[in-house]
Amino acid sequence: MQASDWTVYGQTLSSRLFIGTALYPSPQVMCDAIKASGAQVITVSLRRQSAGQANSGQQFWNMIEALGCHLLPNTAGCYSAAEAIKTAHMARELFETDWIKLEVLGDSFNLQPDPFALLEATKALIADGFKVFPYCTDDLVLCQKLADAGCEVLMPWGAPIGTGQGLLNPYALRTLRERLPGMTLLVDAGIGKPSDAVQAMELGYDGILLNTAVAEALEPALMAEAFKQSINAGRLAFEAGIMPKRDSAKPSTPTLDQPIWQQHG
Amino acid sequence: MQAESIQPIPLILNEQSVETTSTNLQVFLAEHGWTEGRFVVVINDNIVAKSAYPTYQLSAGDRIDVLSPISGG
Repeated sequence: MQASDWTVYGQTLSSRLFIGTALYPSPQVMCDAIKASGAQVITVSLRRQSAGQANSGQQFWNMIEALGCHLLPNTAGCYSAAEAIKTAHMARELFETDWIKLEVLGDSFNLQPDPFALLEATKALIADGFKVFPYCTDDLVLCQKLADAGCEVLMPWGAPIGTGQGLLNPYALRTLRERLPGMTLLVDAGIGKPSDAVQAMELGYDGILLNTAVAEALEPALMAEAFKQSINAGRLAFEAGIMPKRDSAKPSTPTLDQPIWQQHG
Repeated sequence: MQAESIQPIPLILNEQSVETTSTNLQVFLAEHGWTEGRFVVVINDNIVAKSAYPTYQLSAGDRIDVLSPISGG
């Protein structure tokens, strides 16, 4: 059974997994993994290429175009609002999409987003007609301000990029879900294994963006399939309604008319 | 009468110093392997529309960036 469709900036999607195109051992492994994931949105980037490498960008383009996915270009590696804004405009021209995964980093050690520059860049890009997917921390007030700026999607981190640590602060992520009930929320970064994705989806997150956990698996296509199933399972569980935790036991087998009367303290 | 020789002009292409006698952008790009396909050209921090390549004239000292798609997370 497939979880319900959802909408991202007016685009209806059935898969709730966004997947990256980096770090795979080969282009063919990348393509196989993306197909296995069932993802309909893939993240891409842009860089200068030396004159002798003019064809390599085209080869990559031909591969991702054949996948038929929506493209979500990123501003990876930008450390100021100005850099990110400039990169976003180049990405829009190159990939012919107004979607942008906005990354503005504030620290090179843990690649933590700079919340102040991120908000500044978000406002500028929305004014320029972009549909912004901000990669942000799980700070409630930052996320509220990004929503106020006009973002229809927020992508708080689960943990720093590439760490595979899972959801380091479930309380903060749960709070975001509760305080921004109408916002489309994806956990982006830090997901290491399918159970991390299930946890986020059971919290009511709308989707997951990941890359390293699949690309660096021993069998990327197999792991992509595992994430596909786990994200679907987590969403189905959320839609089904998860029972509340209790402090005391409650028998599941009826005790009425039990033939043996047991007395326990 | 002696033919006037064309003096090469210095440019920065993707952070590398180059000289060229091809001041037409489209010709310059083709000489470096960029003809068709996915790339975007930024000159002195301004994006140049593809439709402007055939008529765009390069000037000495121009800083040209040619960007292509790559993988990303």
